[in-house]
Amino acid sequence: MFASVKRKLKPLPQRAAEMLARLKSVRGMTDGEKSVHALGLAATPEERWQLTRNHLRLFNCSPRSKRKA
Amino acid sequence: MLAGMSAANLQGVLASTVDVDVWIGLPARQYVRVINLCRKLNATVQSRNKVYLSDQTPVDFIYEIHGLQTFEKECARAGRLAFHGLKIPVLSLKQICQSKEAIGRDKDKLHVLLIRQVLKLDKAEKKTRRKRK
Repeated sequence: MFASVKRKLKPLPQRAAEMLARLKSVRGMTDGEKSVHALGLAATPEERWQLTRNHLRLFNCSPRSKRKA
Repeated sequence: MLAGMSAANLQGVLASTVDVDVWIGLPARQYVRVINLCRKLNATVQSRNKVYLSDQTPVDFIYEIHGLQTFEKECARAGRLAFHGLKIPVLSLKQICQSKEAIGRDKDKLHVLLIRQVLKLDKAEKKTRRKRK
């Protein structure tokens, strides 16, 4: 029953933008740094995992890319 | 229990890490029990501390972490995160920071900086949200 009333999440970019707006007043970090961290904080654990795996794939060191012998 | 930068990733620190570090609550001499379990899961065993899962994910097994207390004590302090349909114990960002400060490698110094930034922003964000309510 409770599973069906689960709150629907907004898309990640929207959540990240809202998070960044809440972090605007924090001192000691550039907007670029805050923007990256806002994305990380706004994401769910599953999304965070996927973001990191996607990043690794960019450098061809994804766990799914073929290992060298 | 999930440790290292993979644990930090799941808590919002977007820093790259290739290995998944798992802290095992067993004495290191009992590594065979872990390795046998990995073999059952069709993992490729590289050494007593490192395996590659069937999807090629590298997993490191750690039996002791510098700068932290015993597994039992730290596990009690650790958070539980919903991940892949399971609730898994994950070292908190503060615990990860503590262990990385104790090791003090160059890459750890960068990771500590990133973790501290996230802790600071997380605290500020919670404060802002409370004010709005």
